[in-house]
Amino acid sequence: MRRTPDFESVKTSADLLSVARLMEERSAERYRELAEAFEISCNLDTAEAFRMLAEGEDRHAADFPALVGDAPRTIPWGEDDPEIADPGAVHYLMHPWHAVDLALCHEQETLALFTLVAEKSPHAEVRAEAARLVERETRHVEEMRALRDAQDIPPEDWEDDDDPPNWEAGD
Amino acid sequence: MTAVTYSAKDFKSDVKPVWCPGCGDYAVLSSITKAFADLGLAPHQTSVVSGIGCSSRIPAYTNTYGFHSIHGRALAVGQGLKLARPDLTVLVAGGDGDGFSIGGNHFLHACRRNVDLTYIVMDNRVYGMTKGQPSPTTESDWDASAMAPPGGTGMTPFHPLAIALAAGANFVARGFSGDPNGTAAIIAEAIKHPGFSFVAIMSPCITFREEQREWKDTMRKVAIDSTNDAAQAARRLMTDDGYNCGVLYRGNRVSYGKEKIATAQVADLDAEFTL
Repeated sequence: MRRTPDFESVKTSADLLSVARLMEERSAERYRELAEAFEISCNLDTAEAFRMLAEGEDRHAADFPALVGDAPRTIPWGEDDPEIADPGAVHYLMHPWHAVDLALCHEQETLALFTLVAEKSPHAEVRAEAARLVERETRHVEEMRALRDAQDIPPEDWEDDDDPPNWEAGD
Repeated sequence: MTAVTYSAKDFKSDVKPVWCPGCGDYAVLSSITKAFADLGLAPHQTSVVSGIGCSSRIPAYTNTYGFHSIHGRALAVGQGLKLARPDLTVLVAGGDGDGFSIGGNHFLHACRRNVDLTYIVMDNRVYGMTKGQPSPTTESDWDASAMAPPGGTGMTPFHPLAIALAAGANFVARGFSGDPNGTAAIIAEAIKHPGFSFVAIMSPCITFREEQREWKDTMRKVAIDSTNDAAQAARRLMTDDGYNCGVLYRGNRVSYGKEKIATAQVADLDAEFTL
């Protein structure tokens, strides 16, 4: 369900900043939802990791000026918004390392997107603002990589469940 | 006086979902609340009615009128609600087992009756709440769960869109939880369309059907316009592999009950039940 970003719809620097802020806010919301899902599943360490990631995204959002007027109704890259964690990418036994690694992937995808906007936007003002966002996202990627590397590396059998929800017939 | 507008968040309750991490139903919940907000509805103008199952927990997670009703009977409750309160936007939601097995007969006749409501089925092709039994939409050879017979059920899967169309549903569509914005747009169109609107939403159960993670790559948006010709829609379904998303059919039938809208007052109805 991929689609090409609609570069044309972001016409000004203010448009781009408001979209970038909304991306961070949506990302925080998704991480918070995941934190709650993992709490319900009693995987509390991973829940805490997602909550920490949500707080980080809140801080990233606060870096942008508050929105003036209505928030953008949709983000030009729709469901492919790279800052949003893909709920299908999670596993109920995942470790905090996986959560932060997932966040690192999203930061890298966001960096790639803004790099593309900086190159391809038809509007000079947007290209210049995107170039500044590229610098910012590069820092986020480095910070996230350091955070991931600070986590305990999961054991190789982290997916093994002694009481699996769906066992193979004959087990 | 300024009109109050509601955001998607206003339609979410404070109750936290108990769905598994990664369940597609989280995104469907977001799509529903976004559709309500995009249509400019208010929580007190909307209602969500469900049956039983994982997805049927959804009334608890929405800040609207709601009824977590009886297994397979959500449509009966929803239709009754709509006929009694035609001013409400009624959305009935549930899963494939609830809707097509336990509630299969209600589904057929709700399509025929064409009451003006929207029916959303979050289809994961499995009974998740009871730990992995095949549902009516499960592939005939699926036996990856100990809860399935060896070699699969051997039964042809139920084709919800074809059956909805044949039974007279006035709006037929398919969405995917991995495309929450696209699904919200389909739900909004379904709500606006008069009569019985049916939206099948493919919503992976990655706990009991881990292979459904691949739906992110296999689901696709169809690039053709919907039709109001049921025969043409049926021909399109003949080549449908179950992974096409979009609006298939928009019919022109008049909603049931337009000429039968309840006029009685609640007090009058109460009086009829007085012993």
